[in-house]
Amino acid sequence: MNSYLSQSIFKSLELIFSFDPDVYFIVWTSVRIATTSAILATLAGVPLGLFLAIRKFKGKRVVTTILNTLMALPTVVIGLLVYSFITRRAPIGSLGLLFTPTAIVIGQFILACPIITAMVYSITQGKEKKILKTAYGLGASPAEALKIFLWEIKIPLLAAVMAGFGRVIGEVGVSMMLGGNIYGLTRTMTTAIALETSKGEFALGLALGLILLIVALAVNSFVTYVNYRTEKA
Amino acid sequence: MSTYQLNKINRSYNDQPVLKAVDMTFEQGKIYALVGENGSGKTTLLETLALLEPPQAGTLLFQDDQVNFNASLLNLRQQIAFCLQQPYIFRTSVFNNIAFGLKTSKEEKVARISRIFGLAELLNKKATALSGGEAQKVALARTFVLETPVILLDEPTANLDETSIEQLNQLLSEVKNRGTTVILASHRLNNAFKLADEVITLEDSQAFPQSHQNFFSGQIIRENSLKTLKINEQVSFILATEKQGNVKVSIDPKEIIVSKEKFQSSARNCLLGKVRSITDEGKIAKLTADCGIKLVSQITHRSLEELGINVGQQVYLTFKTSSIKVY
Repeated sequence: MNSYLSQSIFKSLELIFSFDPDVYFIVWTSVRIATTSAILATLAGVPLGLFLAIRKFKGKRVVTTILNTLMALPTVVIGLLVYSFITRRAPIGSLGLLFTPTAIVIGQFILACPIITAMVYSITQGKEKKILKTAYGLGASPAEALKIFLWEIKIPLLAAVMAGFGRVIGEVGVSMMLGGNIYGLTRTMTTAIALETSKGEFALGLALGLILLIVALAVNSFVTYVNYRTEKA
Repeated sequence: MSTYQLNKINRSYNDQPVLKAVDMTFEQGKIYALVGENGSGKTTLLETLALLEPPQAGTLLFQDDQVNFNASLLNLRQQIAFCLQQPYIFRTSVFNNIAFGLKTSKEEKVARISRIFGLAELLNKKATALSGGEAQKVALARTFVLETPVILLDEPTANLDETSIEQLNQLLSEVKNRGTTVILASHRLNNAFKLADEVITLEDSQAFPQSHQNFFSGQIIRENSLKTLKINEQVSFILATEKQGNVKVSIDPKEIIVSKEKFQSSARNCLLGKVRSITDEGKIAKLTADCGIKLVSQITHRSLEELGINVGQQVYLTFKTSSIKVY
């Protein structure tokens, strides 16, 4: 093997297993920001998805089309959009949000929310459509019906939330444009990988890349495990 | 008291009418069977009656009061138990499924209903692991356990074996005796007619009470290779069936030949009657004649013209034994 590559891999493993504070601070920043974004996107996306699923209104098809389009929104476009609102001369520029973790959260929220909304909406299009009818047919109140509904769709719901989390933890456009990749503040795994690689610091990039893969694997394993447990129980 | 009164109820999906100007009254304490092809509007009608979906036009009276779909329907819905077609089974135990709508004395009530449906041994089992038939019984059990004044069942006999259907029939007679109104949609005609006090045919999104469709009950009285079915003192049919005793029959209006003279044919049933009404039904006309029973026949406008048949005239109505469906 190329000695440069093998050295880099060796060094990246060293960084991971020596619990290098820089590496883990970046990981922590990433996870913290992505978790916040995913939680906020869930709080908005789940009710939105349910509203779309339950309520009948004119123009619903237009809304779902827009939603599907938003799912494919490039992260740099979101970055640009939010940037134009929070930059110094912009409407809410005085809040000083640009290049803060909050700015990344705003961008990532816009990224994850349509995904969670669309997934929740699509969950309710299958046989789950019958849950509310069944509950109402047995005399349930709207609150009771919603409770059993959420209970019944908890696994696909969890998958939707995790998909939202997976999308934001791996994105680079929003974090770079709105966070500015500031060391110790807004440097996330993805922005660090981009920077370190371009600097030629291949080892650090590789270490963070490996951790990112592990995070993705852990998230998916968790969903699969919960799914398996529910099917078995 | 009537349980439901429907006035010009309309429902459509994507501009396709599913129910067209349906007028109907459902009396308390009776069993009604809704029959009709797939897509004839049975499920939509049941969902409207369950107050799940508001009609787009028309008014619905429940227990003599007009239903306001903009207000909370919880109190009204709690008078109605609805078992959906291919019901959704909650991902929990059989017990929790059956007890879902119950507020009080869950153990007692669940125990009783599960004995009736033969589910007593399965109460602690995960309901999603049940077979199709067992799941259907769980769905029926959780509907009946509520002891509501109104029970709506969409295809209740789907997936059920003969024994279970008998258990269901027995239960239906019991709840009927308590004054419960039952409305069931069924494509299994045998079952629908066996229990129903009234049969409603849904055709082309419209509802026809049984009288329009030649439904009769009678008794099989003579045993030959062919049997005689006595409808009343004046009218009896000749029919071929294995069944005995009291039965219900229907004759497809399309299968009844109308003529002014009696004619020689292989058809064994020929009744003389007086034309009571002729109604225009689009491409065809519906002729109702009184032969001691009201018999409806479908004929084309052209035949009607050629034969020169008018209201008040006497006509012969001829149909084959094989045109009589026995239930």
